[in-house]
Amino acid sequence: MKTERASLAAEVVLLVPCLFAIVLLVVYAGAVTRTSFQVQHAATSAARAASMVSLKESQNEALRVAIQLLKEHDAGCVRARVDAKRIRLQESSAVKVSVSCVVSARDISLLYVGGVTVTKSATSVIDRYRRQ
Amino acid sequence: MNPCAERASISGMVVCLVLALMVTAGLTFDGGRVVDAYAEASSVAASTARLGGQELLGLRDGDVRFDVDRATDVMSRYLRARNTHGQLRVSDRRISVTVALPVNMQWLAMIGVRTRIVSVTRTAYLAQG
Repeated sequence: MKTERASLAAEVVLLVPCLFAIVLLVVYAGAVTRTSFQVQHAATSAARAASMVSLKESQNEALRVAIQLLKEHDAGCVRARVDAKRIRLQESSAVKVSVSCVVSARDISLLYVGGVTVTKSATSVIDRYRRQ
Repeated sequence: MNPCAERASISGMVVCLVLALMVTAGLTFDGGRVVDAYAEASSVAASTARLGGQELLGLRDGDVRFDVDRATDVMSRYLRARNTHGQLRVSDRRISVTVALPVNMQWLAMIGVRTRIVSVTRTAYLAQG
């Protein structure tokens, strides 16, 4: 009987950390998902904003809008990178913005996992006939 | 209580707990990918609609008209180039684009949910002024 109890205790001791790790991973998956959505939103908004200004200002505008949105929505990025470039889209011009974000792994620091990088891009057409 | 029965009940509970956690992880991960695909489809549909809205005729003589055929052609080519399926509805002043993106489930595939199709419609209205 003592052996049975000991094996029960051993089972619990071994399983509890595993279950705890799984719970942490679920929490982190949720955080990555949330950040991913915020990064896509930031990229879309930054592309739209960059398409409304001159070529010279488009990179700065994209950077400003993307960073502001990531901060405002508390996206949980440790590092973020924003790239904007003009591209041809059929007969029109467009701005393509890529936003990369390293998701903070603070919540799962017990697991010693490095942060996941999420990269999203969006394209916005430059209105040919917009009044400047 | 019989210790053997006790041990079996603990093992059963642990198995159920692990399964429940794995399904939760699957819902979180794959559900997130669906939400992600929704945001991407929304962005592509809006961009396509605005791309079509650029195709205007008669700007020089002041009789501005929307070139429906050309807009449809440009948007179709753009979606094809992106390897994306879309449905276009174009009228004189309105362009609606429905983009459908398939999302392959990774965790939920284990319980038989393999693919979800995310479909988003975005509309651009032509404005003058």
